[in-house]
Amino acid sequence: MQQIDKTESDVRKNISLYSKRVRKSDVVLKMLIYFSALLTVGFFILLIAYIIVNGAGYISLDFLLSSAESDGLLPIIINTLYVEFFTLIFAIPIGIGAAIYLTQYVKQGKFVKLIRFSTETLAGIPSILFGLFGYAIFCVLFGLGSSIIAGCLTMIICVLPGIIRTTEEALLTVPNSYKNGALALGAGKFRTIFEIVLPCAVPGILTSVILAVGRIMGESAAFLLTIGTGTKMPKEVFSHIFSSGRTLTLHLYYMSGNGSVPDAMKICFAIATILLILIFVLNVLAKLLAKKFIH
Amino acid sequence: MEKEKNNKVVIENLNLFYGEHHALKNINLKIPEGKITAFIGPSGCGKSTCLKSINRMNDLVDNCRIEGKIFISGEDIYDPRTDVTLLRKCAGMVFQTPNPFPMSIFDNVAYGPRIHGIKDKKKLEEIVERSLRGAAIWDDLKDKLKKSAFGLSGGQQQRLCIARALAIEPDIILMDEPTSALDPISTLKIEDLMMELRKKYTVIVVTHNMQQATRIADKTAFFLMGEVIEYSDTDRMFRNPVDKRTEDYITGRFG
Amino acid sequence: MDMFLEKKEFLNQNKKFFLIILLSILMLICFLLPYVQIIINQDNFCVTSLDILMNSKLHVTNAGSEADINFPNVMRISVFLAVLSPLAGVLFILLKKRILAAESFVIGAITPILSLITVSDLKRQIVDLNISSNRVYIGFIWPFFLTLIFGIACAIFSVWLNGGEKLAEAVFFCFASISVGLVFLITLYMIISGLPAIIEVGIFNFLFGFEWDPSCGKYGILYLILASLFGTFGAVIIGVPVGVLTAVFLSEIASKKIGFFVRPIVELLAGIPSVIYGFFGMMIIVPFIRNVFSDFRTFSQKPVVGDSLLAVMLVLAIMVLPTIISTAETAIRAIPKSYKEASLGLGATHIQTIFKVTLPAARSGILSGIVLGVGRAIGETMAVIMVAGNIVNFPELLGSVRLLTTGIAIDMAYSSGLFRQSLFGIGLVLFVFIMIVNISFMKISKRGVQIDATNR
Repeated sequence: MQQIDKTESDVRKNISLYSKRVRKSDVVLKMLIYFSALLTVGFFILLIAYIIVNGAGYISLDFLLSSAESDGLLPIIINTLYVEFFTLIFAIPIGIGAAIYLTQYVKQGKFVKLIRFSTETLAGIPSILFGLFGYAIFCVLFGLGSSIIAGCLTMIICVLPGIIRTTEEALLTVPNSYKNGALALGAGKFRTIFEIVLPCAVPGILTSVILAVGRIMGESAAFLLTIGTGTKMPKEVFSHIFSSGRTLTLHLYYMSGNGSVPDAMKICFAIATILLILIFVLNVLAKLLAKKFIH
Repeated sequence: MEKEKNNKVVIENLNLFYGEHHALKNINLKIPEGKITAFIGPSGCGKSTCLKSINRMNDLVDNCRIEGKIFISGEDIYDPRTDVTLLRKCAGMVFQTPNPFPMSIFDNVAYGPRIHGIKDKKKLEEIVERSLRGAAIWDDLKDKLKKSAFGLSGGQQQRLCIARALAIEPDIILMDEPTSALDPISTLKIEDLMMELRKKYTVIVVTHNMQQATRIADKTAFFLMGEVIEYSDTDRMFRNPVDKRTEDYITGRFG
Repeated sequence: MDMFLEKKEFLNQNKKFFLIILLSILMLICFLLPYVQIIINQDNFCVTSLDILMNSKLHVTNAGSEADINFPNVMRISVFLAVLSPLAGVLFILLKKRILAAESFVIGAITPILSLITVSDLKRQIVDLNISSNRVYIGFIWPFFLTLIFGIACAIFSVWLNGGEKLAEAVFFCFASISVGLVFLITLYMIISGLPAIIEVGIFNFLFGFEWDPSCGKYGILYLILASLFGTFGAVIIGVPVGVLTAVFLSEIASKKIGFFVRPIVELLAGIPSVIYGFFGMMIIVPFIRNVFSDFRTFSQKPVVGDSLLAVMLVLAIMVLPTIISTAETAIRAIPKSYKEASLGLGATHIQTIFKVTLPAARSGILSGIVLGVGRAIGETMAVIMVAGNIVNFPELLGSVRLLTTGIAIDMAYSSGLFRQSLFGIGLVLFVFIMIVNISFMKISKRGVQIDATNR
């Protein structure tokens, strides 16, 4: 036995360590990995560059603030702001309340499981189905017609799961010791949540709001069925929510298929540029907040 | 000359830096073939680092810089011509906590031979059986080779990891505190196994357990603050240590 | 305990109690007041809840013709509940079962919404009497809203009787339950509005019919389903290898500096609106396909115009990339370092370790990312609508296609009758697909968590 092993190890010894070699399969796979990463990055650069190069030149203050009925951008921007505002004003309290319930009151049990399942399901439903649902419920059943408010109500459903999830994460990072300290001093639970837990989670909650802002800005399919195509300036501040009004994304969509407006393609590029810039700004904001959050 | 030939691993003037931190200072060791050599010392003394530089696992650490030479069978492993994968095949490693792959027991052991190009199923089965027998665990596992390795106990997992290291037919087995995560009974089994392994392989073991060193090691090196304080036969070191610091450590005054 | 809230409580117990009783009585009075208003050709019919409950029909005389309109059962049940629930609520309050009381008041508040659902049914009955639908108006009068508001107010007061803490918890609970209610409502509504068309056309004819031509009464959506499936499949085939390998690059190969630049790019890609992807596809990918394949013809011998299934696949592949990359990267990063060390210690190269140990160990996380991507691809509408060509065809790579999502989006604006119902039928089919994807995603990601737990 010993003998055999000795010879075996002698044979092995004859293989010198000085035989550095490169595996062909490794090289091929590594090239594939680099190629994929390059494809992703390259595509991104192509997209950004293509749109900004074509769109940046057309953006001017006049273009942004023209309120002409067919191709003025100001009413569209105002519509978009309306949608953002009225969606968030409902979605944020509901989302934060739900997240508070899920993190501070009841953490386990069948009903909480059901809530989580529902939130995940909602997050997975594509916006065209929300649009269909919103159309049937808000536009037809509630008699709101194609209007900004119908679009907002539909959009609340779209952004709610996201807000709940991000806020939940933010609330979970607040150390329990803070909460217990306040409770031990005799503060009520509600008071503890509002005075201790929520202020600590503000950056996280703001992140969730920013993400929701981005989501609403980029949404189009849900609006396509619910919000109509209006391009008029609001006549009155409040009643405008009952009139139809397209958002920036929808305007881009309608313009891209519209041959009658002379500068349609240029307008499309300009809107796409604006959207890209806004998304970029929101992303940076969310990043900065997240950084603050960690400290 | 004869003596030189019997030294499997020779470490010459090894200095190792983690960034600014000077982790190993001028290490000189001659580790004999077919023996168990133990590295002892308090935590953070560099014994694991020294072990890892023998199969160049330290290459994975960012900003790690190495000076000096390590020879295995007379060949410098830090020579640019050296094939690292071949080196690691020649010096198999067993880690502190058992770390089987999330695969079946068979695939765990066959992993090494497979990556080194053995595809023949018969041959693989043969290697798996031989390695598991070598790690004294074949009888326990021969009926559940297709089962996940995570179903095994800690001691069994560690022996599986040893079998996995044996499957690549190394000359040297490096063990980094192989029993520190195990209960006493499993520890004893692993120690028995190490005594078995000594017959065929050069074993280098890092341990923080001095009793373990006295039980199994032929030679012992005592590390302190990145230096080798004393290196000699285990019996001699524990009976009458030359250095005062060694004596303090083995009598339990610090560490 | 609740000093803070105690101080702010501006109503004492007795006053709250009194208010609840008062509002309940008002809810009951609403029962006797006009509830639904139906206007047909300027003829005004006001119906009280009592009428709805007592008579099952409304006698309508219009331009000499007479007819009976049946009140839908749901409406009758809802007004019945509207009476029962405030009574039950007061009873529960007197018995000191405050939570039960609150629940019955909430049911009372929901009843108006229940009767809302029946409006379309009522309207159809009237339209069936040969009255043009735009001359019919069905509205609800203020007692309807009062029931809603009083019910909610009563519910709030009866919870408040237990103190402010309980009220706060109840409000948060309501907010949390909204998503449950929504999922329930959406599922219900998708089925209610989607099934009639499917039943009318016949489930087999609807799902497996080749021809989609609503003007000729042909409602077969097989090509739409196939186009959606092919498009998603193509997107996955292209997107998964690129996505997973990019994730490998980010987690295993890229240095910190490069990762610092590439990771935000992936995040930005995820945030870019789908219309921009669609617009990009329309301006770049479609002309590209048109130029490259200009010598080819589709099976039906039409020239290749660029708007095609291939364009859909490419655009969708780009859109699922960020989802796949970020999920896969998270999964790969979660793999314990000890696996990699073990593999490298056995003499495997870095690349071998990645492909033989890391990726297999991360497979359930990667798979859930892929499923998530499938969900995103199958539901995508706007980007697809701009590059698909939107002609109903058997899906072939270079031919124009219409998908489930685009089918809904394109025709919604000008459809009516069975045509519109069939669009809701498409919605139901899409909904079923999405639910299958959703549930399998949850199963997979849960399994991934379990595997990770046993690994440690």
